[in-house]
Amino acid sequence: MYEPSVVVRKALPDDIPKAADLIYRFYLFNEEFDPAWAAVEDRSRAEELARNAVESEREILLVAEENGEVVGVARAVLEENPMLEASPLAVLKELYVKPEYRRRGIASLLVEEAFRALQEAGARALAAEFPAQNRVAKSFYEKLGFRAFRSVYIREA
Amino acid sequence: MASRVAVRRAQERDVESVAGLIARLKALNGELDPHFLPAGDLEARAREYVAKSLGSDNAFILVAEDEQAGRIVGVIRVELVDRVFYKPRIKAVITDFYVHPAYRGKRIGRLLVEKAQEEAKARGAGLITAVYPEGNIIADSFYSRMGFRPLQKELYKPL
Repeated sequence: MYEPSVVVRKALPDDIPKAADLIYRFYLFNEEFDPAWAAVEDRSRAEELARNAVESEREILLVAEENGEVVGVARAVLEENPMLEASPLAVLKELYVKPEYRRRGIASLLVEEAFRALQEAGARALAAEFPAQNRVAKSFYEKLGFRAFRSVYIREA
Repeated sequence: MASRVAVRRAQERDVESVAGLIARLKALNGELDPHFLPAGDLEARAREYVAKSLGSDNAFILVAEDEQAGRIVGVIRVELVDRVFYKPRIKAVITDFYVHPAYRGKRIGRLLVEKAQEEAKARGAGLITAVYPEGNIIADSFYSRMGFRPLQKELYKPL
């Protein structure tokens, strides 16, 4: 699927508030799946996250834009593990498309563009993070050719 | 962790916090399917909806309260419907049901549904159903564990 009216591009400083809003919505949605994903009630932290991503060489923040509106966001970071051939790994930390813009391939565009950009920065594989219970995300990434790569187990302290 | 959660009938003083949880539920529905896109001013609409339900003979709201924190952490709203053509005549419909994510996995949802079943039965209902968006897989697995089965379909086409 390809959506010609949508532009995916690197976020500029002016995009930070809007991108941060969508990053926050990513967490509000994902906390529904597991209490360990319960989000802080502090939107300014999302703004900090977005700002760091725009300023850092080791991260990328992308926005999907349609008619001047930011409708989607993706943030990925380079992650080193000197023991792995696949290092550095590009890890998608947040991916979010507004509900009314779903089912049009925008998230796939964001994923592919994030990978392309971080590949240029040295990434040798792309991974995505989401709650283990989020079956929507699981089937989305499987359709794009991803498979389960590592498991993170948790228990409350 | 071991704070006590009690289920009771919602009161006037709960309107604000119940409306907050219902607004979160509607926002979640919007995430699951674009045809449930929330209208603006969700919280104000939810307050009105809750206040109206509290004064209605055909609906009731139960809340789960964390007694130590004095905080409402879950809600269930049930509507009683007269099925004119069928027996049993009175059907209880769970129209809204939400437990705050930080309080999941503690069987609070189960407790709310069980208490709602008791209350519905006491009000003459012979059957209880639940309505939620097709894409809500969290609800699918919860209700199936609670012994609910599909009853009827709702199809749509945008106009």
